[in-house]
Amino acid sequence: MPKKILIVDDERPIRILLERTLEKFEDSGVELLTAENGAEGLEIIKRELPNLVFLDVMMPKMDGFTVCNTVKNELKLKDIYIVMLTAKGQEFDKQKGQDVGADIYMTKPFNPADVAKKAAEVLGL
Amino acid sequence: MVNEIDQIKLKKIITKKKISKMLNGIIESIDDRIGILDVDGKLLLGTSEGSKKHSIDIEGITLGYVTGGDKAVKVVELLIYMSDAALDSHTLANEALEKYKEISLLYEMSEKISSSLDSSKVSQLIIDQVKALVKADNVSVFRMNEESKELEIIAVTGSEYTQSAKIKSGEGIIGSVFLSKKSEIVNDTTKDNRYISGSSNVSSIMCVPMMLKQRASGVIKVSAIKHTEYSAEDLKLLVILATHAAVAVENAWLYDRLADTFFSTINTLAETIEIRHPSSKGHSKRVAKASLSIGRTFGLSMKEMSDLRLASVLHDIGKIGIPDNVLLKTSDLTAEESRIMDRHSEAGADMLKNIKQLKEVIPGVRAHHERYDGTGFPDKLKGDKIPVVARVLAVANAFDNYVTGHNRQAAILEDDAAEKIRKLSGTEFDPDVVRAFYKIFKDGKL
Repeated sequence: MPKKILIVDDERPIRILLERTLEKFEDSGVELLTAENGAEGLEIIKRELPNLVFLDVMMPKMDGFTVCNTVKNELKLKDIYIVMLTAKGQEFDKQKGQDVGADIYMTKPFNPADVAKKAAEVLGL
Repeated sequence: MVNEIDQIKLKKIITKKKISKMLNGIIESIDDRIGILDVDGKLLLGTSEGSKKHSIDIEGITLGYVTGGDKAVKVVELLIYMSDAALDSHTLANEALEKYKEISLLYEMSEKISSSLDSSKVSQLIIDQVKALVKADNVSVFRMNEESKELEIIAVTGSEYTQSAKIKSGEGIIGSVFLSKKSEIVNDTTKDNRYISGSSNVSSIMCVPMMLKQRASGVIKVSAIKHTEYSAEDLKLLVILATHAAVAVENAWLYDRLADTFFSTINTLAETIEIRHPSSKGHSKRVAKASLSIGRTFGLSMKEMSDLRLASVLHDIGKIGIPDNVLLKTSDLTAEESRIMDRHSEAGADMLKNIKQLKEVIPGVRAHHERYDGTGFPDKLKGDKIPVVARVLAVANAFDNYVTGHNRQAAILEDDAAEKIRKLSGTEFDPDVVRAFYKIFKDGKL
């Protein structure tokens, strides 16, 4: 099964930078996918079943918590590892994160090394 | 720094679905004998039958080729433009990611370093952070001691300096940086005549002053035994770390001074009783020492230990209100005089209620004469309704009283005092506290 990473963020620079950070995994056959908002993200998750999703919290159309909740609690896709991305200065609601089933959260601006490390870990590379 | 050009692969640029569709359309409309090859000659798009071979070059590096007739040149121009744009994008992205990395480190640093007021924790955090940022065999953090006018070690790792190292302002590279307030990199110590070796030799150094407003409060030095090329980037990170460190170190130091002042004041306050009642000299200090030993064995929390310490020192403060004829009387007290004396627990608690910082200490002071069986004073509290601090204090207090005999009772031997306390377990004293007390007493650790 080819491995897939999905990046869901309404901010273009973040999508570009996350893609750049994860680009090296493409050489190992990993496919990088992106979505601009929560609704699109959910669509892609259902269709492509990515192994790892970087999911922004604050997005129009559907926010990250809703997407996560749908994926983990409604669709019961427990094997999809979800990293919630939250802006620095916004206290991440840890309880809410737990309730919707998020696996971990990272603050933006993210540490590229941490992102790459987490991807390698989750994808087993 | 990563060489961005190495990351530009023609294949990646043109094999994206939309791009390859567009290119195929362009090739078909120009001349369908055009082909795009990667740098190894492998066909990526189109056909490889064309006669001429044009290379796609940016910044002197060939990314691939376009084969075909004369019209293929137009495709080359397009691909060069696209590759250039990809290179721009990569370069900017890398620059942004470097900044992200820096920012993440800085946030992490400032959160960690300002999270503690404990000097030793702060010192360790500074060292950990420095080591996470730069390669170093030795990390030494010096603070200027205003009284002795020497830079003293407050945190150190490695073999270059010991805990007791002292440097004068202006002495060596460290002293020089302290005076000039300018950060420096010295990648070859043999070429710098200011270099003075510490306990071991080093080849490369970075030294930055810790600045508080406009003055230097100390210096952070990082060094490597083998020659290392410390960069301007390394120095920049160290400078930012030093800014956080300076504030954290100063705060921890001030907090220590404040705590010292507070305790000195409390001790002085307690000693006012002992000045009036000379035979009780040293009582509060001894009781505090014994209480803390018992408390530790008994397993009190950090907060309880802190309250215990203060309650022990201040437990007899209420005696200040007792007139000399009662306080200093050596013969037996009358019923009325006893009543006056017994009021000191309550009186002490009352005195302390106006000092906010001592609020938590009041219950211990008020209840130190309560008895486990509920027949004590002033509130006749029983069992574990008596604050734990008071239960421990009661035993420590009794022991010192028995052994020094300053309360109208003759002094008795330590072993007899310990026995007496054991006999009163369950009635006057909490059995668990007595057990803890007896254990330390037997081990000689009281």
